[in-house]
Order: sequence, then structure tokens, then C-alpha cells
Amino acid sequence: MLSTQHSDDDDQYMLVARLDNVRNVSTILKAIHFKDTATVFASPMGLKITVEDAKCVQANAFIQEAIFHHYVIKEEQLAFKINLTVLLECLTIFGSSSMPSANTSLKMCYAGYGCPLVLMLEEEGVLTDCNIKTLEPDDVLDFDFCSSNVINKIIMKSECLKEVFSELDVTSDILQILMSPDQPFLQFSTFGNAGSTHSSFPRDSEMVESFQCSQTQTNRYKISLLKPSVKALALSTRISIRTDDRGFLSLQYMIQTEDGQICFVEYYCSPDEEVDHNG
Amino acid sequence: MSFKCTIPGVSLKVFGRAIQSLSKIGDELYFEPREDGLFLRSVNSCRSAYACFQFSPSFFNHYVDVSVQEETEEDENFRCKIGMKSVMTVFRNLAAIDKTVEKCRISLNTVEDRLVFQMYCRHGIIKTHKLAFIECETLQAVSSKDMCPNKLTSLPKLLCDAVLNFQANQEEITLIVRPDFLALQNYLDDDQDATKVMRTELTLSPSEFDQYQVGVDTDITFCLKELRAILSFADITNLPVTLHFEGAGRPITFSITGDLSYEGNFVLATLADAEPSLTQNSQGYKSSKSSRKHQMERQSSHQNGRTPSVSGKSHQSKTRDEIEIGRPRYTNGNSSLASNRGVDEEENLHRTTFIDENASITDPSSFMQHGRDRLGIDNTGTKADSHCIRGMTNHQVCDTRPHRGGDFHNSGLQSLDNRSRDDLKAENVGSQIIPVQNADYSAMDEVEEDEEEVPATPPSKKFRSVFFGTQSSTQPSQSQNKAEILAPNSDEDD
Repeated sequence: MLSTQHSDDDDQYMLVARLDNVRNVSTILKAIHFKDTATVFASPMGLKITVEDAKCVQANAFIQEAIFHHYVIKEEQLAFKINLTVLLECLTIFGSSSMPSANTSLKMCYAGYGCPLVLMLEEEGVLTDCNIKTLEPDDVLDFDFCSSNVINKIIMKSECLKEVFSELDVTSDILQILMSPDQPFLQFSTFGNAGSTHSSFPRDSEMVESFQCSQTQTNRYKISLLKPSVKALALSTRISIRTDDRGFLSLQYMIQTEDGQICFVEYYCSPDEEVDHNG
Repeated sequence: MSFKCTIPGVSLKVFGRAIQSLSKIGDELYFEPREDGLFLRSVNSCRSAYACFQFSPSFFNHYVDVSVQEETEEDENFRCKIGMKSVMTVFRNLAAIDKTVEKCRISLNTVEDRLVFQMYCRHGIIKTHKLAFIECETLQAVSSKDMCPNKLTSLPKLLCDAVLNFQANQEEITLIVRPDFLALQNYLDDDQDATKVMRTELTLSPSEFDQYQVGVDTDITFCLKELRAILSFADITNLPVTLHFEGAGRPITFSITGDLSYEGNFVLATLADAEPSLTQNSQGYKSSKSSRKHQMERQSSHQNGRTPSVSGKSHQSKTRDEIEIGRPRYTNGNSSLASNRGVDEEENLHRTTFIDENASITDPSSFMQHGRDRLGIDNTGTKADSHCIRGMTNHQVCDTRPHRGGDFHNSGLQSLDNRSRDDLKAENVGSQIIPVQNADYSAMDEVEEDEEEVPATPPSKKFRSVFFGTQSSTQPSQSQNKAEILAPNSDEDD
């Protein structure tokens, strides 16, 4: 049924994307689902879905066009805002259990400005049609995070950080991140009711894949803003931590989909307060 | 002053568990490093439970305690207390600690006034926790465990398994100790409606203990929740637990000693009993004991499994096994005796008398027939029966819901469910008991005068329909009997 529709209906759409396993997309979107609305940007390179909060934190999920087995876009850039909660519920309408045998295929179509996002999901002969209203895309923050401004960059395996982030002291308002060419190299600190907790990682640890720190920097970020990133961390295999000269934090997570493809999720967070950047 | 010590990864399990068990006792951890070791203590808010762990210097890789200040005239030990929640953030995830932490260093940072716990993990990761503390006085319980006449030692598994049989919400537990047996019973508060509460009793034989020294026959009641906290620590160390106690009202001490490197002592307060009942109880017990033995000898040929020297209660557990072979008679006698034990002393006295008689009047033939069918129930039935009797005297009526039989019994465990007398009779226990009750009716009477309410079990709730059809057939005779025996029992409605 989908294939016969293909030639007739697809012409009306500006974007048609198909993939065999919808979980490749739904998993990534769950990693940035900390707000109800998201802005979707579609380009010939793929999809970028952005979620923001308090004008301080931004999460982006990149689903490149190679993830889809069919990706046709008629414009250079399409943008719309959509309710991410509803979108995720539709994508997981056949259930969110990860049974390899039950593969749900997805066909995503968008006809242009003002039109709804059309989703067609099929599993074992059962077909579901979803039409989700789209909204006017708001401007998203531009954190202006370019590589040239990056002061410190560390790439490490996600494993050890998962424990640190899951055990963050809930009574602490902020998470302090220290990155330095000298001891203690990388340190995460919380200051709660009980006292302070510090987790430090040496630069020569097997967990650290790349360590490029030129300056000692100590920055504090609100834990409430960083909490959502724990979801992405849990799914990821590697993480890159970067801070720039303003103290802005960029966390980039490399996530492997079920089919072995690589997707990226990135979190940007502005620092909590004025902290001197000279260690 | 400075204090520093390092715990090797392998010992962290014990240390972490010790702190966890302390956290179940009180809200604050008293931390006192001394020359002879590190003392960790805790006490609960109402001061009815106290725990103290002593880790001697040999427990640590490295132990430095420079606590004596030269300028002060006294030995000024550093003593402080830390909020338990704070400490638990360090030792919360023991499983992860086991896997990843190589060593833990505890030190006192006088500059920042913090007690510092540093966990050195795999891959070079170091987790540092700087905890705030409050200086305080030493916490010390006043109890001399060495002076206690009663001393029992066993591996924690025995007690852990025993405690498993009690409901999770059970507050207090009664420990009944005699030279030839030990029983654990759930304790009923005065304000708890005994007709609606499940009674549980577990008997153990002295042979199951590594050391069993009973100087004074005792019944003591203490908090089960705290016992569980103690056992959760003892379980992982698998070291023997020694109980030191005297009598009701005097504290009971649980001590766990780990090959000279550490020692844990838990002191729990026990409920104070009224003096007279104590003696009555022992009297009542003795008579029941002798009668029980009587039965045991009579039925010794039917015995299977356990050692005959064990007290009646343990026999009951055996009878559970025996149930399969259909020897309910024995069970009756034993179970009734056993169940009586924990009950009010005065009633005990009455009860045991007629229960014994019951045993002697057994009518084997009819009994056995029923017994075979109700294997699971017999045991409990008996208990329920005796329990019922007890209930009568105790304002505890047992003829309520149908007993769910052997579902949740372990060997040795007697769950005393409130059961209708009908059910009991159905299990042919009644036939034995009935005559006895007649005989003792006068005795019962006296006690029953105090008894007011005897709730009736609606016929629909009776167990018989679930178990055996024959039950209903025996009902009429039973109720008839009941009418004679237990006047207030309204089961005769059916």
C-alpha cells in the first residue's frame, strides 16, 4: 500500500523520508525530550531537531540522511515547530519494547509551511497514520560555539561519566566543572547539604581518549539544566566536553543506533555565574 | 589533630555494610577514631537501639591517629557526628563500590573542617566526599554483655531464615528461650485486634546453634526491624552472631566479631514484662512440656526426620513433614502446645491442661482419615485450634477466615491463622480436642468469663470448600461439638 502511494502522493510533499526501523529515530529523540516542543530543521544533509529551555540550555539531535533508506527533500531548508511529546508518542505507537523481530517502519512526509507532519508507521501489516500539526518555528538560540573559541576539549568514554551524573547530589544547585592542564585535570563537583563531592579523572586514564586543555577553567552550571543530558549520556558511547572562552559548555554525545549507525546529540549550556576563567 | 586511615577495597564491603546497618538504626553516625581503632556508633531517636562498630587498626591498610594533644591535660579524642544521609551518599551504591573502588581513604581536614572520604576507583578516577560534621561527646551504651546468663551463638543464616518468616510490617518479635528449645513469635500490641492478626511462631532446636547457654528461662520482646538491620550486616560477613540477654526489660546484645579486625555490637531494649506472668508462664510451660513429651513418646514410632529430643514445637515442624505421611495426631498435640507457648501465661496454664487431655483422648481412626486429606492444614489446624482456645481466653478469637493451609509454612514454622473451629474439626483435629474441652470446660469457663467477643466466621469464608468436601460433612457434628465446647463460638450458625 505504501509503495502504490509512493508515486502519487509523494509529489505533493517537500520532504519524504523512509526508514525501516523507527526506533533509530525515536531513541535519539528521547535523548533530547526534556521539553514538550521542538523545532525541526530539515536539509539535504538530514534532520536536526532542537529543544531549548530557559534560554540557557539547548539540545540538538542530528539524524543524518544516511540513516534513512529513502530521503528526498525539495527545499534547501525546511523548518517547523512541533510537539515533541506527541511526535514521540506517535513514533512509539506500536510500543517501545525493543524486540528485534518486531520492526516498525516509518514514512515521514511534510508538505510545507502550514501543513501537518504526516507519519505512516507499519508493523507486521498493521498500518498507522498520524497527522501532527506543525507550528511556526521560533528562532533558536545560537550559542556561537565555534571551534576557534574552544579553550579546553576532552573526549572520553561515556561509561565512567554515567555513574558520576547519575549520582549527582540532588541537594546541590550547581555542577562545577574544572578542566585544567594540571592536576586534577578534569573534575566534577557538587556542593550540597551534606558537603561537597568531587569526581576527578586523570588525563592518562584509559577512559580519556583525547585531552586538550590549554587553560585551567572552572565553570559552574545549574544542575537542573544539565539533568536532561543524562538521558543522552546513558545512550552514548563517547562524549566530548568542550568549554569556550566565555565558559559555555558543549557536550557532544556519540550514539549508536540499533542498526549500528552513528548519530550525534549535542547539549549547549551557559554558565551559571561569573567565574574567573583563569585557574 | 590529624586522622587518616585507608581501607583496602576488599574490606570496603564490610565497612560499607556496617555503615548501612548503622543507618537503619539512627540518623547520625558517631565517628570516633581512637588508638585502639575507629569506632562508629549510632543510636535511634528513642534511645532503644544502639549500635557500635569497632574497626581495629589491623582492619586498615594504614591507620594514623594523632589524637592526643600535648597541651591538653586530658586525652582529647576527636569525636564527631555526621548526618547519616551524608555518609550514605558515599556508601549508597555498595554493589558499584565493590566493583570499582580499589581503596577508600578517610581523613580529617582541619582547615576546611570536613571529614574527607576519598574513593580511589578504577581507571584512576578519584571520588572525594567532604562531609561536614559536628563535634560531640562519646556515645556509649550502658550494658554488660559479659554478665548475661543467656548466650546463644549461631551463623547468621539461621536467624536470617527464621526472620524471613515474619511479615515485613511486623514491628516486634518475641524470643522465647528454654533449655531445650527456642521460639520466635511475632508480638501483638495491645491495641492490635488479635482476631484479625496472623500469629506466627517458629521453633528452633538448641542443636542448630553453635553455642546455646540458657541460664534463665526468658521471654523477651524487641524490635524486629532493628534485628533485620543487624542480620543484614551479619549476613554478608557470614560471621557467627552471639546474643547476650537476661530477661524481659533488660537489653539484648547482638555481637558479631570478625577475626580480631572488627567487632559489631548492637544493643536493643526489650519490652518489660509483668513479674507474675513470668513465673506462671514457666509453670504453664513445664506442664505442657511434660504432657507434650508424653505424646511424643507415645507417637515416637511415627516420628520421622528430626531428632526426638527437640521440644514439641520443633516436632511440629516435623509434623509438617509427617503430614505427608498422615500423622496429624501428633501434630495436634504438639502444635497446640507450641502455639500455646507464646500466649498469655495464665491462659497458657489453662490451655495446656486441656490440650494435653485432648491429646490423650485422640480418636485415631476418624482422625487419620481426615488427616490424610488435610496434610497441609493439619498442622496449622491444630495450631489454629489451640490458638483458638487461646484466643477465647485472650479475647483473641480464631474462628475467622479459613486458613490457607500450608502455603506459607516452613518446617518448623507454625502460622497461626485465625480459623474457624469448623475448619479445625474438619481436619479431624477437632475430634480430638472436643472431648478434652468438655473435660476442661470449667477451666475454660473461668477464663472465658473475661472473654466477651467471639467473632463468627461466616460460612462462606470457610476454607472447607477450597480444600475438601468432607469438611462440610463433618460440619454438623463439629458445630455440635462446638456448641458444647466453645459456647461463645458462633460457628454453630452453620
